[in-house]
Amino acid sequence: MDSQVNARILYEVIELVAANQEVSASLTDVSAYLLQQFAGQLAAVFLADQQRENLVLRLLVDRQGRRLPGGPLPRYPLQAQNLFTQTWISRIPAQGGNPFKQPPAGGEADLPAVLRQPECCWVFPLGDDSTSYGVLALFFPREAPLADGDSHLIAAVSRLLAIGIRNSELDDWAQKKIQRLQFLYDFNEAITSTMDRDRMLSIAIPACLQLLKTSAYVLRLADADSGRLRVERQSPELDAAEAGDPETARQAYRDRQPRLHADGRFPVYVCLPLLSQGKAIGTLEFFDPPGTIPRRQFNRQDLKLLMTIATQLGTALVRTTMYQRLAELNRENERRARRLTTINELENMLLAADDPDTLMKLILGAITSQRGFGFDRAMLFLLDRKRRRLCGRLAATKTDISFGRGDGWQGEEQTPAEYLEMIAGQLCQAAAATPDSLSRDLDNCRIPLQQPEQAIINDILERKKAVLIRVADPEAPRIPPPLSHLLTDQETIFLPLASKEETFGLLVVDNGISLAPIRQTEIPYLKMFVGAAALALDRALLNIQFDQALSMLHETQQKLEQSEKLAALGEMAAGIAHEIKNPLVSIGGFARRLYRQLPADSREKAYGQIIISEINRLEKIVKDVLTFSRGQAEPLEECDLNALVEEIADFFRKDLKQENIRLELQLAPELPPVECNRNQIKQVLINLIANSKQAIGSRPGGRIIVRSAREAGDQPRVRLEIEDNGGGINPELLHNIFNPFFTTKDDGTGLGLPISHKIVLNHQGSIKVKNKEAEGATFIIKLPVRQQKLQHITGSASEP
Amino acid sequence: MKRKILVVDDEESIRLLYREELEDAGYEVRTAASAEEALELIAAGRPDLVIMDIKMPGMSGLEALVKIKEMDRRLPVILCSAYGEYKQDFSSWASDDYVVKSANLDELKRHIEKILAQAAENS
Repeated sequence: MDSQVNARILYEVIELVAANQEVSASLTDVSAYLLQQFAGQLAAVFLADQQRENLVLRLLVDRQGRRLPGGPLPRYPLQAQNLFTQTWISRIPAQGGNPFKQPPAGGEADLPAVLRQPECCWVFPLGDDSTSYGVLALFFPREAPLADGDSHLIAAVSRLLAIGIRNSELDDWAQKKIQRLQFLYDFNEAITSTMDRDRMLSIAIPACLQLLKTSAYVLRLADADSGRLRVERQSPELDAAEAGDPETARQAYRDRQPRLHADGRFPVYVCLPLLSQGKAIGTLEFFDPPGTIPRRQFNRQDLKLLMTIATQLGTALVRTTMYQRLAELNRENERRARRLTTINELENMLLAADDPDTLMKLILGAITSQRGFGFDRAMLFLLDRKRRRLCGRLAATKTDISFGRGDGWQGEEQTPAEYLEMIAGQLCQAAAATPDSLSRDLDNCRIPLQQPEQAIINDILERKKAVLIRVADPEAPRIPPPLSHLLTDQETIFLPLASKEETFGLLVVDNGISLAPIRQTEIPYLKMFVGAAALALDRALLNIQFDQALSMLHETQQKLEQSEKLAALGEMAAGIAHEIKNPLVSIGGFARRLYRQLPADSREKAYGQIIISEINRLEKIVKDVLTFSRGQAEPLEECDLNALVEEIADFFRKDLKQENIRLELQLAPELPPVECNRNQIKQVLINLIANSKQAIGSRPGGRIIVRSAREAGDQPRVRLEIEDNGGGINPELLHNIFNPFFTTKDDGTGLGLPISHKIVLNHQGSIKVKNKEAEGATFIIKLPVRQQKLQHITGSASEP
Repeated sequence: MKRKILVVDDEESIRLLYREELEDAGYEVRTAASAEEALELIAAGRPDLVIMDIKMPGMSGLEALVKIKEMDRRLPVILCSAYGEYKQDFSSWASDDYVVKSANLDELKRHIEKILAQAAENS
């Protein structure tokens, strides 16, 4: 062939190569063209595999440019001695008989039959200066069809194709590189887009699974202290038992090197050490579970990418963990600061309140409000020292009252004091909104501390320390009833309320509505607050006691002054009364005489009547004054009080019947005789029954009950009760009833009860009134069976 | 025959009242303004009954009572005083009765009748 023809062929080949972007298309078109030009039958392209260890048949083309269907393609290892591998290695075109003519050894048995037809074969190297990519084989029906010039030309064309292959490979490589970089970029962006570790993992892990085309993963993290790996998370479908390969993970973690194909159990397996700043912090295994068909295999080239991912993930894990810890710390600090502010505000509030009821409301409100401590329930008990028992006083349940400068304070328009007052008002309101059932249960809750089963409560009170008890925990100390009835199975905090000296109450706090767990970190703040609250409450309670003591003292003093005044007044009254008595008798006596002489129905007769009745009244007053002011010893006698009561009942019976008042006697049998002045005691009973009768007046269903009973003891006593249903005594007047000259009756002298009082006192007895307002009053007299010293009843009178 | 009653009281108006009332009631009444005068009158002529005030200037009614009983144990004496409540105390003084002084003499009159009836029985 002349050079003109060669030039044309070369030109057309260049055209074909240039027209195709795909290297396989170039190879196909150029092969078909060469077959046409040089009367070839078939063309085959063998290319080296990635590892450049084997030649693989990649293309088979006929003269029409048709790609022949592929079957299992022949594959020749480097060591195989045949025309193709020799040319591949030597890079020198060679010719020989068709190697497929003879049935070849190995996996070539099923080669397409068409490959066996050609007689002759030319093989050209596909290579550039550095790399031998493979070979181009042209098959001919007869031997030696190519002239030297032809083979040179085809060699040149092969060289041209090799450049195309090289470019294509470079292109592939670059594409792959870009893809990986893109992946890494996307991956990195994804895992740095969040500071939340869980979210980061939920982005990263699926991305890796997709990239690696595996279906399962196990993430293990090393424990900071022991360095032992534990599963942090894994594919949800995995059983714990088949979770990856712990042994290989340990190795990968130890060596900080990825591991492939652990032990053959998994069709596909890779384990990456998670690295951060060169340190392994855990492992990530990707694999297909046993029994599944793998979608890909890993090769060493993948490892570099995987290591990059592992490092990125490791860094991200450390970063997010650190961030979370920081965020947690920050939150904790914020909470701490808020708590301290809150406690400070609450303490200020407590200082501003001085009555115990308000204080208790404030305390409970603070514990149960959302921005205070936000507990569900708080119950306050106070110690009744006398009876040695804890009594439920106040309960509060969760509210949404909030406070704190952040949300309630209105800046300059509101002074801090006003603000506190507002909050205090809200807290009190909140405490008042407690469900009735809880309040009622609490009111009824009395814990008798002297009972042995209450030892745990005593213990808590004595230790003065807050205790958290999970009631349902069998290991925990058992809280006995009645307190246990108020509690749930959940955690409960018991906070003794203690002053410097002693415990005076108990605060019980729980989340008994939502049953949410109690945050341990809250307890120190609660303790701090309750400590301050206890001091404030103690102070307020002491104030009250002090006030009470003071007012009692005051009262006693007043009484003392009163009684001294009364004694003096009594002496004087007696003197006056006696001097008045005689003139009164003459006036009255003569008035009666005049009256008798006046004609009936005359005006004068009416006037006389008035004079007489007024004189009667005066006489009665004088008589009472004299009785009250002059005590005088009288002989004592043993007296059967039951008999006395019956005697008086007989005396009153007719009278009471007229008024429709029922008189009932409830007398204790075998009442011991009482040493007393019979007449005086009789007068007392008469006074009291007369009072009852008067109190009942015309009320329907009037009833008077007289009871007697004996009271045993060192000093045996007899008790007499006179009960009526006359509407009781006005409580405001109650303290006055034993004072002389005090009366509510139009025609009373005001001496009936004081005389009775004095008589009973003179008998070393006591008289008390049990008043039920709007119902009735019961007078209770207690008299000793034996009088101890006679002079006690002698009173102050010296001479009649 | 009218029964004789001696009224002893330092107050003239009381003496007058008692006299008129008791005379109206059918008694023969004499009066004395002091315990001493009363004792003289009794010595001069025995009355059937003495009504004696307690608090008087000079000898008190209680002293006079003792003297009268020394003279004549069976002469009934009714103590009559403004002191209201302590009749019992006077029982030991051996008076036959005690009546609280009052403008209403009905009670005194009842007592007088009762005591005179007892005295008549005893004699």
